[in-house]
Amino acid sequence: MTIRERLHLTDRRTALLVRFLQVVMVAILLAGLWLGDLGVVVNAAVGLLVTLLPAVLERRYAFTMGVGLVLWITVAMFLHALGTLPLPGLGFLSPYKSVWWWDHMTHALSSSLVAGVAYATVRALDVHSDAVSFPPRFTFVYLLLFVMAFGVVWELVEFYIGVLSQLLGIPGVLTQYGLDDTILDLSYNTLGGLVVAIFGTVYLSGVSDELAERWAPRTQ
Amino acid sequence: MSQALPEEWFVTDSRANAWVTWILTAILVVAAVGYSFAGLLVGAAFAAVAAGVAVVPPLVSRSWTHALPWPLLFVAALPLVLGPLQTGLLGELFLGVGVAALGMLVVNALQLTTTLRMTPGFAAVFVVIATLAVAGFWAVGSAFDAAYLGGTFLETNDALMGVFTDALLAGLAAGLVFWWYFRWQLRRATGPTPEVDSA
Repeated sequence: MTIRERLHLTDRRTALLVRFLQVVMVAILLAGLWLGDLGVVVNAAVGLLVTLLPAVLERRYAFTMGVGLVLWITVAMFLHALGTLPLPGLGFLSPYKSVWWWDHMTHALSSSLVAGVAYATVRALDVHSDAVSFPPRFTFVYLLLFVMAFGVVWELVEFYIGVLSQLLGIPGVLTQYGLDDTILDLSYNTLGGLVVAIFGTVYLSGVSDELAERWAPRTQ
Repeated sequence: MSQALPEEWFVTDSRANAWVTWILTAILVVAAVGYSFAGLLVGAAFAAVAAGVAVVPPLVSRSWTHALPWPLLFVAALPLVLGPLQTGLLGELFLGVGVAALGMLVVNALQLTTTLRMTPGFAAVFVVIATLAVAGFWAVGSAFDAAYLGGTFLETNDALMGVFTDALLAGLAAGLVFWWYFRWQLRRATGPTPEVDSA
């Protein structure tokens, strides 16, 4: 991982940074409980669970992800959780509400994660199975389609959670801000997907090789 | 569904079917030209792709009767008629199914002409992804079109979510139908004369 080398992030330091971000997320969760803000609590809790996923995979299935990848996941979840928290420096508004690019940043970041997952699985399928073969150009298009499709599903989830919470009369956990915002979300998703489609080959092939090895015994 | 079907998933070797498919293909070519003269580039591209995937199987096999089943091509061409009509919920669902069908035909054509290979199960999932993605790109594209080029777009977020919901339902329905179709084909291929597939 050349980016980490340039930032002088050794594996140990990266793992420490991940741990630190998780601790801050616990603090955000507690702050949400203290404020009685359901949105903050749910988003921080779900984000924390996702950051614990790599450790669970490691323990249960001995499936190791690079520390850099774990950091990538954790940063995405951390920024999302932080975005829902009302901050004193912002007049007690959440970054999602007061910082215009926060939404776009987290969307691009999490969609890059989604694209990463899509890329890793498809490459693993490609390596693992004779019945499957993806030319690079198709993989590129597939990643873009996947990220856009996921973005659409995400908007639908946001929308129906909003509808449901309105029906039940409780405050929404995720918020949609309107038509223009949905379009911008989808555009930034595409941007995140593009980045992964371009750089995926360099950083994610290790993950998919491991996936492919894992699936290999099933063919025999 | 990891067993391999023959590389060509959709083909009917009959003269009657080939006639209808070729007539549909000719209509699609005319539509592509007509749409492009009318300045409707999305429609033109859609018609051109549909015509393209229809001529690949006969070209590759060098036999004019070796053609796609015409109902499948017909369904894939439906969005060209339904798109401009804006026929409400049912029309939108059929539009989504048409996009999914075209996605499957594109995969079929690429399998015949490139090194792309998919399992049928993956392809069934793929058409759901493709349908949703087309809805998303359509939304982004027409929003920019409305903002900068004087096109029209939906008024509210609720309306857009309605379109996305229809795309999701239509994509899932099409994916399921393809899934069943492949399973039925597999059973037919392996049923009466058990073939040993070494792959």
